[in-house]
Amino acid sequence: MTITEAVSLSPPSDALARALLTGEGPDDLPTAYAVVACHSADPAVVATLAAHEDLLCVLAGPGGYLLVPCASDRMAGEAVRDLHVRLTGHTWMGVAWGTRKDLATVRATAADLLTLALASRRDPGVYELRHLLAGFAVLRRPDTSARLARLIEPVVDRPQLLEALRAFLAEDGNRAGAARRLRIHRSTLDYRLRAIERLTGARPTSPHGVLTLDAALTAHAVRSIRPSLPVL
Amino acid sequence: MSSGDLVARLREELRPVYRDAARNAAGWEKRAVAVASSTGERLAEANVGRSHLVAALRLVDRLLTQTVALNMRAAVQVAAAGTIVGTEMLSAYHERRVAAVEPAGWPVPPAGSTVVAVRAAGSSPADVEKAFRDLEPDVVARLSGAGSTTSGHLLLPLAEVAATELCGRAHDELFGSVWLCVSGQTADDLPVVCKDVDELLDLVTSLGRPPGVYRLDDVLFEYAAVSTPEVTAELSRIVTPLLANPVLVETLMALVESDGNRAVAVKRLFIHRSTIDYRLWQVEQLTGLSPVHPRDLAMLSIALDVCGRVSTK
Repeated sequence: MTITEAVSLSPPSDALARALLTGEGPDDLPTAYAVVACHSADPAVVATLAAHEDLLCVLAGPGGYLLVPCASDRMAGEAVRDLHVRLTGHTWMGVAWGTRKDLATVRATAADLLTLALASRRDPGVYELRHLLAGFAVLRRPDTSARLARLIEPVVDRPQLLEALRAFLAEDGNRAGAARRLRIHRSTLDYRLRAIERLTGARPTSPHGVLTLDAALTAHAVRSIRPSLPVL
Repeated sequence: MSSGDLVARLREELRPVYRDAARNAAGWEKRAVAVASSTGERLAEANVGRSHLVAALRLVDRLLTQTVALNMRAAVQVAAAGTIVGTEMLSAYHERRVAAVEPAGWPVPPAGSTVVAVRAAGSSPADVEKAFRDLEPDVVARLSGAGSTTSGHLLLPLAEVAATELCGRAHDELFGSVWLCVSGQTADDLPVVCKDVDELLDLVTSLGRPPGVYRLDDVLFEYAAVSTPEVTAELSRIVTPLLANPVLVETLMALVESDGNRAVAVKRLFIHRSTIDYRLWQVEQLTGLSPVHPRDLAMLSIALDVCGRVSTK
């Protein structure tokens, strides 16, 4: 039996997807899936996904879960990127892969990845665990994330510094690019980055410092940003 | 016990509790209390870290809630079950753990104190105590050791930042290899803070960090990563293809030490600019992370640190 036949013989896609995501569901389905948690403010995107006949999905409002049958971990990102490029509106996707029995855990991971992509203001796109690993580790450790959120608080309270840090992170640590983005002089930006270092102890010119500041800003933002995903 | 084992074990033990709660089966609350407190005690005896347990419990609660809470009424019951399980398990765990540690001789610390874990080769307990007492007369020392090795704890009546600074000065006075790890918590629950700071010391030394003064902030990601099973697994997937190629590892290390500056790294490595670009392109092909981006580079170095050393321990 092909996947499409299995789907058409089974309960409606929504119920089947819900069953799979909570660790239930019939045995005659593929053994492994890429689970996607997605968010798009564009109703056309959600409609396209809902109409997609090879996808199992649970959609509600601007977001939802998709299940893409996928035999191996390494193909999961590629399979979902193929889907993503065909969507027209801005869409963020968190992707995790796992076998049938693990899908409840995998779903939680995908949802956390979507939360992180939105909270850290990443561009629309497909995000796997390795792209957001630091933020993910921190999100799963409440003590660590509280510590980081406290660290960045003095920066968040100063709009000029916050704006400078966001531009610096969006330009991936490129100071000339960040200064252009903000239309300020390069030395003004350097001055603000030094102020950030003084307040947080994290050095924006070192890779580790960039990672720390990014994770701290994310830990702070996660408190208020939660994507709307359907309750299963 | 690894984090994966812990999650699996909690899930097994708690699944019947959540299912009974969702069905509102008679007597579920009593059974929930019993299961939670006995599990909490056994995990304390198995020496599972506190923050480790909290993270696992939080994850398992979410997973089980998603699995069994199928309607509104069940969701309310399950939420109640989650609260009972969380509070009972942690309080049983805490009591057993505090009882297991010998608190004799520790004074009640003033609020805002800090605990420092000490490991030294080359300085005796008396040397260590003297170095600290000269700087801070109110230090309380619980050190042991033979000859010129020392391990144990110091209690300083200072907050984290001041304590770290003082440790730095004391460290300068000491001979040999000395690691000092400063706790972040106020030392109100002394035995627990001691265990947490011991975990930090173990992590710092197993990562192969040089002697010095460390705070949780210095190894924050490593600390979070080694206690989150999904992250550890992903780190090892990232690193495995690299470990087969020492030249790429060496290149990455040089780039990290040069703060991501390729011009500086090529001088360290005595190679041509186009050679480093080619090697970094290879790293990206193998790992999916691009070392020319600072965040990816930092993650690659953490992955090498955690998987290259901790896992081979």
